[in-house]
Amino acid sequence: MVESLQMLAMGFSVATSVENLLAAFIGAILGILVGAMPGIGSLAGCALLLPITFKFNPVTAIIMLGAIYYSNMFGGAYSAILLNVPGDSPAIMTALDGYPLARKGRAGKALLTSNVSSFVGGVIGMVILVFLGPALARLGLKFGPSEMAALMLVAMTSVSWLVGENPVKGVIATCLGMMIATMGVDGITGNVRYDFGNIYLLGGINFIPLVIGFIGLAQVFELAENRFSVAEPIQEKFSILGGLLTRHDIRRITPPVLKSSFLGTFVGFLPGAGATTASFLGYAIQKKFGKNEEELGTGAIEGLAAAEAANNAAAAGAFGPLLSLGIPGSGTTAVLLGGLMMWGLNPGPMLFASEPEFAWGLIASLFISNLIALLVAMISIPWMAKVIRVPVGVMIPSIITICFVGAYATTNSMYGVVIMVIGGVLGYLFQKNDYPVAPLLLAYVLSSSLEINVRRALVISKGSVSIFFERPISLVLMLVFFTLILAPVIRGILSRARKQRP
Amino acid sequence: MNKICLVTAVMTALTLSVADVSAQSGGFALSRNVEFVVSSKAGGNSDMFSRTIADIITQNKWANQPIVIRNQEEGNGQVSRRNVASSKTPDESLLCLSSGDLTVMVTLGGLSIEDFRPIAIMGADKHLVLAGKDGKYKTLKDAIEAAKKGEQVTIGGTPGDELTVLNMMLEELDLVDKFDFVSLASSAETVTALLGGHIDLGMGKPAAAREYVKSGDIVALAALSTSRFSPPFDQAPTLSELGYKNVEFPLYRGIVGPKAMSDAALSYWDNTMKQVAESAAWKEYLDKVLLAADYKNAAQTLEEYRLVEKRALEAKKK
Repeated sequence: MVESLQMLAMGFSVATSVENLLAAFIGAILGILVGAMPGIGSLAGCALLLPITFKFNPVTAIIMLGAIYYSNMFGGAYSAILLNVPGDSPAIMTALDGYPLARKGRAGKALLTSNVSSFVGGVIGMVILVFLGPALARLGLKFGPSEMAALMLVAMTSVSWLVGENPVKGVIATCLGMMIATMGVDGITGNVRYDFGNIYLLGGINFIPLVIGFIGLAQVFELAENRFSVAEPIQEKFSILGGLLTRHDIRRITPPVLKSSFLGTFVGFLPGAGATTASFLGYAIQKKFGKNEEELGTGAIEGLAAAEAANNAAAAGAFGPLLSLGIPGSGTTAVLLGGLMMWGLNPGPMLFASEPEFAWGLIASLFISNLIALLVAMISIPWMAKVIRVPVGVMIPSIITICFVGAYATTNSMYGVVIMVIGGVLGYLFQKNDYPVAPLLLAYVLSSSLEINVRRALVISKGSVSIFFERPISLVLMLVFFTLILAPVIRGILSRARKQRP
Repeated sequence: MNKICLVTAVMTALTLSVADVSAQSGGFALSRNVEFVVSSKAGGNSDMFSRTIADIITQNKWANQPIVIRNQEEGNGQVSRRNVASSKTPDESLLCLSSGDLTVMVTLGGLSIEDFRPIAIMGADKHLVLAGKDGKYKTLKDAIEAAKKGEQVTIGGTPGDELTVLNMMLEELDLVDKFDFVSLASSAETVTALLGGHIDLGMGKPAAAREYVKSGDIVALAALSTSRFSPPFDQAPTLSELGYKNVEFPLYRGIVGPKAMSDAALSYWDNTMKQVAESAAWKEYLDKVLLAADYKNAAQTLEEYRLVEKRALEAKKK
């Protein structure tokens, strides 16, 4: 404990050198910008900037990339809240409550809630990283195929709270999402599925352009359709003070932020889970078990806080396995891992011991960039929030441009744009016919991981499903899963039985 | 006249492959930016490999035009391969193609090595059989005996080159289909699964395993090569030391150009890559990423890649 603090202090002395502070500052600003631009996201942002940093000193380089990765989670919320175009996949959950809030004229409050929750989530994640990093990373290793499959099942249950009023339509959307996820080359056998003879489909459907289309572009169609019936743009007075959270607000968001922060950090530690799963789980748990003054999905700050705190905590947690074991916990940390090797470091179980300056400098710089990101974000809120006052006639072409640029950026080709446009048309048809979109996206994200892990687990168990019930962690997760899906059924039976009694 | 000179130059390079090639072949000059395509994302192994080569060429001014790296991942990399194969600027198009990529390309279908002109193999990765330090099997012999007795032995690895070399090894050990193969997406996943004790054995390459072998978390049980690896893997015996024939299926990291590339351009690239392979900077890179220096010129690369393709087609038929 004391030793960790000493090392952290040493890390701060590394991270607060002028060039490293500058690197963190530039990284934080770039990260917010990159995150706010849909489609680029932290993965692409880091991958694009990585080659440039090869010429840097490794500590400075990782501080900059860490700051980008980190503050990207702040920026991702902006376009989700203001335009209903999630900048990256964790922001899908942010859009669910953030955009309705903004439409209600509380954009400033939504942005501030999201930033404060991100900040707190990040700080909690980092504190856990400092004290329990290596231990949690070792615990994360216990999550093998059967445990991951069970975790994905639990996450999948959140589909049921997103289906909306018509369960049949929700199930159809879910199945469609799962089917889209199976397209391309199967990760287990290398067989090709649903490629329809098209060379591009061999790689499957990219998720981010699909999200941008389904949510962002679809919304443009709707805006265009209702442009005469939409009321005058909301006149909210924007100032830092006006958007401030009241004591009541803070009381509302504290429980979800704390719950999500711990949950998110832990999910971040699991190899291969990451911020997206964390924000889904955080939101789902808040929906199921949290106290919400307004219903989630209609613009409740609780939902926004739960999602944002979880994804930032997971971003911090993902550094645990990376630094203490050399194992990437997410796509972005995998890119950072490549960078570590290029800078001449050897990521692995010895990194903390052999390169303490580097490891602790990075952790310390995460605290600093978290703070910088919060400050930059808060200062920009009054300007950002003005976006909502832009008239529909200007808004439509702007969002379309953002959607196209974002979709192009994800694949660096027209393929992303094609997916985005098809997604947009489908998304519009979904909305018109009251099919919920969120279950489709959720099913897409979770089902490929679920499929691969179930298949791996079954190879290990020689085809016996008992593997999901014999191992303690997966057993607990399976019990949670069955409780979640059976509870409403049993409750239904009980209440019917009670009614029948005279 | 010029042509004859070039042909002679190519022949000389192919047959002798000695000579200091400071004089560029036949006065060939690039006429536009070189597009060096990588079919995976920036920051990955292939990307670093290609960028290092481009850097060395640029720093030594071996090319009269800039070399631009382009990452094109769509269609599982197949789109980039098709685009290079049918490039409209064949003399200035390069593709980073490992033997693993080639196997994937052939398995997916529609393209063959005959659609390209192989230029060079710049390095090779060989395989190790790994186990976790608390794993069930302390030596490969233990695992072999267990499998012969009908015990379940799970082994993880990637479905490309690692599965191929695993099958070659199992054939030699007379254990075909006796190990349960758990398909994993990357060497990092194999290491993770070994550390967590989810699989008994893993196929791996030196770079991904080095730190864990050094720290003692992972043990190398066998080297799939004709000789032992350098430290920290020098404890792992080759198969011949265990009483079997040696098995190896190196993952070659190479470069190819489009089929329409002119002879003059091919010979220019052949020479340039040879210079890169002989440079100190390249050797430093190979050491850093633990690749074996296994340079092969254009003719040898064509031969090797034809063999890889043949093997991939045979596996596909099964």
